[in-house]
Amino acid sequence: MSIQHPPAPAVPSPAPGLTFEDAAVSIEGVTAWYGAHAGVRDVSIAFPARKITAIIGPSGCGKSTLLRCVNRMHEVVQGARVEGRIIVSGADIYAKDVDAAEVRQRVGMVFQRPNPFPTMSIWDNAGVGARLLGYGGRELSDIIEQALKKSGLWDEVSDKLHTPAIHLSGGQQQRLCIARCIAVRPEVILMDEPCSALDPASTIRIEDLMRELAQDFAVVIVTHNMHQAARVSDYTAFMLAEEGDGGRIVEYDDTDRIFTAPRDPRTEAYVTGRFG
Amino acid sequence: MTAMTGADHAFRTRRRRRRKAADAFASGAIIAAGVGVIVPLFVILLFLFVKGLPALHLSLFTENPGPTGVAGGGIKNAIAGSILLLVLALAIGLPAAIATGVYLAEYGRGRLGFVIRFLVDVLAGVPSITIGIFVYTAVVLQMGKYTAFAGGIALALIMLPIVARVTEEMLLLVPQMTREASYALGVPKWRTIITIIVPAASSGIMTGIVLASARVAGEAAPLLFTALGNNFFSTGVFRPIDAMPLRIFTYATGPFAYQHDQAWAASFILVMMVLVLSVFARLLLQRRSR
Repeated sequence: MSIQHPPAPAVPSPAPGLTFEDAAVSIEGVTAWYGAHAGVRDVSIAFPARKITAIIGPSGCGKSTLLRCVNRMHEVVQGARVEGRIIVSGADIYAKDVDAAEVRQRVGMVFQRPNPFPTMSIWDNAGVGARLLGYGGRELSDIIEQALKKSGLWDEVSDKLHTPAIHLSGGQQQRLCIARCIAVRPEVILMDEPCSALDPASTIRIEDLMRELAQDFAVVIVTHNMHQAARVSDYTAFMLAEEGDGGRIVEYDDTDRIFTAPRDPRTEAYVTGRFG
Repeated sequence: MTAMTGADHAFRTRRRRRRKAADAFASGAIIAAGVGVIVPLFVILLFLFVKGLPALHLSLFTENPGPTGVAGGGIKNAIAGSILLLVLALAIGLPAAIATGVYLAEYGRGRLGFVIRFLVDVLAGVPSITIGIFVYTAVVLQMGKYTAFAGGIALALIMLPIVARVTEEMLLLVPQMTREASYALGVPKWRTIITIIVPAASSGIMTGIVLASARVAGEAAPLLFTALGNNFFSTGVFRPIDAMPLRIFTYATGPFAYQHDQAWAASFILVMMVLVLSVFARLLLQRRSR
């Protein structure tokens, strides 16, 4: 099964910074609410296909919330809702007749802590999403093998595919979660601080993996590790929340520019480590 | 701060001794209370061994009750009846109980969930004899006869709140992270519950089911006017059936010495069955936490 979508139209991004001819995700005037409190305030930004975009900012600036809006995970939290439009491959994912589960098949997510399914083997973990989409037999086996190879895990686990996934190391578990995500064949992969629970060696492996993933997918990563953003991303957005209000995009530009010649003094203060 | 004087030292030493004495006293009291709680259990087990073990014969398992007043015979019918009643109770009660638990854990955040949770707790507190009378009125009188089926319904009603609340609690123990991992793959909520959440909680739920089974296996009151009891071997769902607690009740209040012996032996067998079920449940729970 493959979902065909019309080519994405060129959407101008009203955010300070960038527009893309081939935006994979276009966020337009999004405010994300937790009850009466805004986590993200009036954000407009576009993420390009086959590139890595990093969202940085101090704790509580709404970067994770913004990310969770893009695959409609924000609304899983009770009392949470989203205003505005988010276009993925030409279609508004918040349109009335759109099913959140279908959106999440197109926009995958990797979480802060590795979260393989505790009762399942490595093999079942990697294949569970694809299996529930209706794949089976030889086709499913191929998908799982490819996903595990792509995530760089195959050589390490090919002799113990049917052992419990929770016996893997943290870094391996996180790569398994990435394999599980790409086995569903999304268009966009969101990563919410994917290395913050990992050791430095595992972190480097995941970062290498991100670059490979960016050959096929739009990758958006939230990180509070500025060095990571500088190492892996093509574009960087800096977010900041005013006291008592939702986060906004302060500046969005080429990663080099954000870290070497930011336009906004607040960006400069943050990337030079003066706060956050 | 000035240095400590000799008087300070003496004062502190006195205080330290008092603290140690109080500690020893409190520890002793707590240990005594703990032992006091398990003493009755051991007395019961001792009685069962002393009174029940000598009366334990293979014929108890292979023979049905003989004519009243004639020594000998067994309780095969009661053992088989208890097993059948348990199977019926599980078949009738589990689907509703687990569905209720899933509802409470996964959907019951609102007012309706609160009301249902409260009512389930009320049901857990209803005396089993009352449940027996209810089933007598609602099932036995309607069908015009005492049946194993009615007994199964009565036991199912006792199991239902236990299994429902255990299911709810075990499902809530599954981390939110695991749910989100599934949602993020595009798996709908109902499918997440069936394929991810319930399996992750399954050994805990199994433990609850086994403990509830052990609980109802010893119930006589709800069976008195539903399953009624039966002196003959029966596996008919729509006929009266015997059960271990009923047999024990009949024999313990009977006039003959051989009946009293068999009541002790039956009690011994029943407690052993419950014990085995409980140990089995513990093992399941350990496997879960491993």
